[in-house]
Amino acid sequence: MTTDPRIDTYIKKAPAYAQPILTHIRQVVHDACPDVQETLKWRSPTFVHHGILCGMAAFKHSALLGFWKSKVLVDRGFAEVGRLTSVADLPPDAELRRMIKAAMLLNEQGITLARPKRAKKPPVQR
Amino acid sequence: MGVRGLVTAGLALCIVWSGVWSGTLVSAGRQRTTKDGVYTKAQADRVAAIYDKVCANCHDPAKVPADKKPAPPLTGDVFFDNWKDRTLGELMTTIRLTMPNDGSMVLTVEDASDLAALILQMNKFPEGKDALKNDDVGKKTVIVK
Repeated sequence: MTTDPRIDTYIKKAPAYAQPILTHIRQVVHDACPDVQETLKWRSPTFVHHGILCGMAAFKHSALLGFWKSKVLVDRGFAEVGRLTSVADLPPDAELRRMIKAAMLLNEQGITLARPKRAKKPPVQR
Repeated sequence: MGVRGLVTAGLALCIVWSGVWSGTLVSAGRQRTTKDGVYTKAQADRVAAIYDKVCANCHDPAKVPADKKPAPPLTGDVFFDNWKDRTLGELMTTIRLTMPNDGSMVLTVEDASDLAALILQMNKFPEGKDALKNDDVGKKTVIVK
């Protein structure tokens, strides 16, 4: 299991309610994806496997688990993970493992999210 | 060089050319398929316990509880309808990242290779000397009927 000490620090500094949530998510991610890499992106713990898999964050009153390709996962029948205030708010471990593995599959298959096309800026009027 | 010399040189060139050409074909080789003995019996045997514990409850019609809809069988026509002409790489990835469907267990890369070997054995594909691995050779092997 490869861990990033910055994630240890992040969890240590997180509000007390969030620490067990973050620790649990981290454990399940490593369980489902043994070769996952940890890093910090946008100052939040992020898990990488052939690209970003998911990330987690703790705020003052709630924590968050976000899948990078959550839109595709939802399209494939997985429920979105909402605001987390305790470990009990997380889906059961088995469901979480399924989601993580589905996200791994998307990354390994190179499935990407379609980016919305930006509207062309109108020419500057002088 | 006389006419005889020209004919001899031409023949020699033809022989060399055909040798090079056939050599190219041999080195290119034909596509490796599941009929080429791509797994070992030991490999299939060692994963039988995982199959019984994790897979059979859904995929073996004889073991699926009456109130449960069986998953697609892993042998016979249904299996080949789903997997014919696809690669063992796809099969191994599907096993590793989507099975078991209830998320009750995490299968390793080796478990997935061994389970693919067991599926090949169940479908009466010949055993070979080398175990199926999740490497370039194993992943590119095509499932044929």
